[in-house]
Amino acid sequence: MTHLIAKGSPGERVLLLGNEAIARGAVESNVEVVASYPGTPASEIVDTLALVADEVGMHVQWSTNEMVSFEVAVGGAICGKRSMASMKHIGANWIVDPLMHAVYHGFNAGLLLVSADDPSGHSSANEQDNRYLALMAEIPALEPSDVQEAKDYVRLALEMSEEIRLPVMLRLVTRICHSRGDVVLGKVERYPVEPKFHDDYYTNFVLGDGIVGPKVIPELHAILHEKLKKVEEVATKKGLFLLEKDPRRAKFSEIGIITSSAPANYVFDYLKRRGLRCKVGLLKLGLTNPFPERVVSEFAKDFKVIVVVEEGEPFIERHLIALAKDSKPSLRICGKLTAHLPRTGELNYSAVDRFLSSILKLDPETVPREKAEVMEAASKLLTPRILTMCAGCPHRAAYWAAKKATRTVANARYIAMGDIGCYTLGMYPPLKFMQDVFCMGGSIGVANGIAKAGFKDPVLATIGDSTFYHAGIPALINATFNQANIKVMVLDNEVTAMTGYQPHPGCGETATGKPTKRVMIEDISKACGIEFIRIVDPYDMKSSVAAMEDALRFDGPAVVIFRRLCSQEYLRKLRRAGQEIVPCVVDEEKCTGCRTCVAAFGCPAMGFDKEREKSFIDPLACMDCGVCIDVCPQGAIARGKVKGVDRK
Amino acid sequence: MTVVKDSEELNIILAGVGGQGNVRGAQILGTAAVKAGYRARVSDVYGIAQRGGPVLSHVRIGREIYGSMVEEHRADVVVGLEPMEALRATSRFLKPGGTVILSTRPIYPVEVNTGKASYPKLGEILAVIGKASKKIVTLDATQVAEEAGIPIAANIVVLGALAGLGILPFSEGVLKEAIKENIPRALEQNLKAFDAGFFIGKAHSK
Repeated sequence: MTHLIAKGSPGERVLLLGNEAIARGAVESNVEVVASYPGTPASEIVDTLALVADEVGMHVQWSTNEMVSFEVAVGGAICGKRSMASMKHIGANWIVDPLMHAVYHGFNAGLLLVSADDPSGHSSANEQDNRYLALMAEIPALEPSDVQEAKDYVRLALEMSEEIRLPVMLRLVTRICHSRGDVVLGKVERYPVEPKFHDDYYTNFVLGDGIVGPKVIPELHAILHEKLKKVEEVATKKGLFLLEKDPRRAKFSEIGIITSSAPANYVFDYLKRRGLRCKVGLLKLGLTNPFPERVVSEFAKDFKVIVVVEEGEPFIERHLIALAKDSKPSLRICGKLTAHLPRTGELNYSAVDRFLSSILKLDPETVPREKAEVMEAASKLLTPRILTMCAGCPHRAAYWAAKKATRTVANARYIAMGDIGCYTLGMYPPLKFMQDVFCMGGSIGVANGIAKAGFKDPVLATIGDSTFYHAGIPALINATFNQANIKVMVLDNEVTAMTGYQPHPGCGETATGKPTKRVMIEDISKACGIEFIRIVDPYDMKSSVAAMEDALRFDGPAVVIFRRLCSQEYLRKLRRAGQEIVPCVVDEEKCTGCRTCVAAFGCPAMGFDKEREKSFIDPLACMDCGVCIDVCPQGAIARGKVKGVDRK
Repeated sequence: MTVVKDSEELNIILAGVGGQGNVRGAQILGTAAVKAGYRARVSDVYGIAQRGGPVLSHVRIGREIYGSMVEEHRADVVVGLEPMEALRATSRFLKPGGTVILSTRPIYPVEVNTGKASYPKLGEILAVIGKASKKIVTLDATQVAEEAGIPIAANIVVLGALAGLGILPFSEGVLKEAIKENIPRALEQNLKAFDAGFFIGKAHSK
């Protein structure tokens, strides 16, 4: 089945997810090499491209990590093929090294860095405004404000990259990546480019004096600055600035609004609702780095007050303050730094409504009286839903086994560092297995330090399969190199689950479903010098507990690999094969209502009937892993019967 | 069938728990709206867990709309695939006098199972929703879907109910076309589930 992003015809209006629109933009504008590492909110770009890669003649890959993905894209561009690397904001931290070098080079084909910020951290461990990465790397940052622009800006960014001879960042935010909107499709242009090596750096410097060092580096840096000077003009030609000024000089002639990205829509909705569209000066920036000083100065000169509506850091606002300091010191600038907008979290219509209404001296919207009452009453009934792993998740079983082992071997005393993936949720109640979590690969790295700090209790690191390949390996080598007595639990569910089940180097399959050699975690561990390596099935509670006990007793770095396919992937496979699940059942006569299964183990397929004081299993949610059979202290849970026949 | 005029918009919130098909349901609604010639904005808000977390999908349909999130207290309809999530969404998003479709089967949060919190009775939930909503349609969408031969299609059942109520600016035929485009498997059962929901909605449409 082909996807809309390959089959849709020019002029057709369809509903696309922001990330699908980016993918369509790449298809339309002849991007030939695409690489990425999964990360919310950016994952669906490559998920979608992988579906059509062969059909449109595009190389699409999931790389081992973001750094490699960006380097792959550099490799594509260096051969004259339009190339793209996409990632979430934190993922882009990994590419800082190659990016800071790539800016001194120049290729014959566009090189696009798609970077997706996640304001509020809906699916992330921090908030980070990657326009500052563009500022540091000195590359153009384009900011589409809706799904249509998300698609259209891919081509514009590639053309700009080619004209300026610099990588270009397309800065997205969650509300663009994960919004669907109607998009008018453009023409698909595919023309395979014959790969031919070219790099300005090689031609101008390596072949020149042949000295790339202190003499040449400032020269390269100066060339970069010369390139940047052209960006604003190119952006203007490409229509990246939307300007609306009231020709009749109406009521609000003193106030102008500058905005970019997703929040521009809240401004548009506000102006429409208040009947003010085109009656208030408005400048929407499609380019924010390098800061378009000429366009902004020209706009600002007519106003006494400039209102900045932006998401993330006060990036535009700070640049505007610096700009106005000399050119228009009387200008009043309102935004995040003046506390008109919140400094943290995703923006929304209400925040923009309050802000604009206060400046325009209009009444802000208020909560309807009857709703205030409802909100008050509802707050008394509502319980938050804390983060949890799925029913049948093998990670839950692995943590249960590890907890048991720490009780038998270490009096339940240990410290465990978590990592980034579904298994991070093991930190939360009821398991509360890990004490802390940092970045990708941080579990093993930080555990190295804790062990060397002389911590007396066992030091554990829990890391997923995809994360192990991504960032765990150098720290594991370090554990051998410096002999850190750490116990690494690799929670291998054979897929990159949290971001949407993408394949990784251990899966034996590429992004486009082609078979490939599996790179095994146990082989890597062995090559890293680890002498204790055990592989267990987390559903096998007895073996899992025994393996962890042995690892804890072992003197030196140890790796226990808990290997079992992600329960959601397993269910999908079953559904495709037309097979059905036979759920486990609670024997109410044996159940004493001790709540171990629901309160300590916490499988979401299990519930507790308060009136009957018995646990129960939701037959629609249970996926028949059978781990609760071992968890129940009373032996009250059993496999369900198939046509009256007991199963073991 | 409602017609959305230039200055008007139809705002719908779909609320549920991860795994219930919230996101797909919203995608189908948006696809249908675009097919019918409207602009559509759909936005999904969810957390990092694959399953079990609250999921909110915002759907905006109109001639001139921009933001992809429904503004607080401006939803014309809240469709809840789970009672507590229906309440959560109603509290924050439903406009006074708006419509609520609520599937009555609860999914207990971890805190309820551990005994730290209790799950409100359906009657309590409906009483609070009733203070904000003029029309509440309750159904066990999972059971209706089960009867259609596809228990996971509760999301399709509530879409049927929504169409049956007659508040969408396009026909159920357009919605069915959108289902065909967005559902990869078991189309026949899904359409059966849709029809069953439609029938329930229709009964409440007057």
